[in-house]
Amino acid sequence: MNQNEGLKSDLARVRGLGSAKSGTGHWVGMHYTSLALVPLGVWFAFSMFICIGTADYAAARAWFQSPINSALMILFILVGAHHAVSGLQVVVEDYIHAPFCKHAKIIGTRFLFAALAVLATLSVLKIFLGL
Amino acid sequence: MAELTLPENSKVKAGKVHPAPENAKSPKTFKIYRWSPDDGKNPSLDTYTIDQKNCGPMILDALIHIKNDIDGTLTFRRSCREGICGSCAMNIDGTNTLACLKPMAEVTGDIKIYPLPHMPVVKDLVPDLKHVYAQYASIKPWLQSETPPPPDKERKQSPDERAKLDGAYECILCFCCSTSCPSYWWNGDRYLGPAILLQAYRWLADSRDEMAGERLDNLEDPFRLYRCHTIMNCTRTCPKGLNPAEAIGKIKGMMAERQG
Repeated sequence: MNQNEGLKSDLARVRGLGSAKSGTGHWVGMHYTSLALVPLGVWFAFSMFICIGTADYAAARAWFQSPINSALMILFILVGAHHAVSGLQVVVEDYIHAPFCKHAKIIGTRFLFAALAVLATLSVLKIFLGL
Repeated sequence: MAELTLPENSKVKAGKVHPAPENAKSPKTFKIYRWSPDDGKNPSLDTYTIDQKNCGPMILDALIHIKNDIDGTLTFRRSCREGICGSCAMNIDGTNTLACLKPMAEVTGDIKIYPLPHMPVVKDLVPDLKHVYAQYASIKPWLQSETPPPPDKERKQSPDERAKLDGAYECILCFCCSTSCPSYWWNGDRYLGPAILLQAYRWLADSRDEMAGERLDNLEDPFRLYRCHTIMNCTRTCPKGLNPAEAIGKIKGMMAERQG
């Protein structure tokens, strides 16, 4: 409980700044991405360990040059990054209470995963386009 | 910085020992959390060994026996002694429950009793409930309607509509569920917790209430509602066998439903 709010009444503390009128989009987004990650995750594990796990470099490149494989790979990267960012935001909000530290971590996580997702997508495209 | 241990003045130390009466036929040992705001000392775990022949079978019977006959300073709340007032909610043998509904025979070994977890303590087993009561007030737990009631009779509700309140109206506000929820421990200042959200659902599900939209507006918040991570401690611990987690899930479903 926050004890540093002077002589405010208990109800004033509970009402605080009011409802944010948000959160549903985040919650629905988490569910949709989890749902999408079930088939994508199975496909990813199957592809990595069975199809190209023991293949040589040329075979792996050829595998990524299939439009279906590269499309699914990019979907896996984008949906996975979205899910990871949303999940990490919840973890930070749960456990980090100092406002600056909390917002810095949430923004930092978003930047990091945006950069990773773009980098990974470009890498897949580079192989797909044969560059 | 993260604090991984209790502050020095909150560490629970060994307390007084009250041995079993001579010739005790059926001894049972209680280890009970004690703390007083008046003496400046750390909390302690006092040991009381009682003869079960001297009291009724429930843990509340033993606590009343201890207070009446062994140590009058032991402080706890109790009233109805039959599971309807919610006063004697406490952490018994590691689980939040009502002392009046928990038989001594269900606990093997010593019976450890603490106040409801993660609440400020007023004294011994009495938690400070001001904050949860304010949270309860914040959801306006009464019927709100713009349509005036019929002048000479009650508002009508079909049996099916009435059945939607089953599993919600029985809550006695003992707060065993809210104080068992890790999410409420970490964010109880903003998260309403399972007890309050079950009551919020009770009014959302009431066919006579006309303020469902406003009620949902008030709850739609990353902290007030969405700190529930479906941990399910609330449902496991409820001494009345209710399912607050399901009610919270239904509120989330209503939120999604009105999006489109």
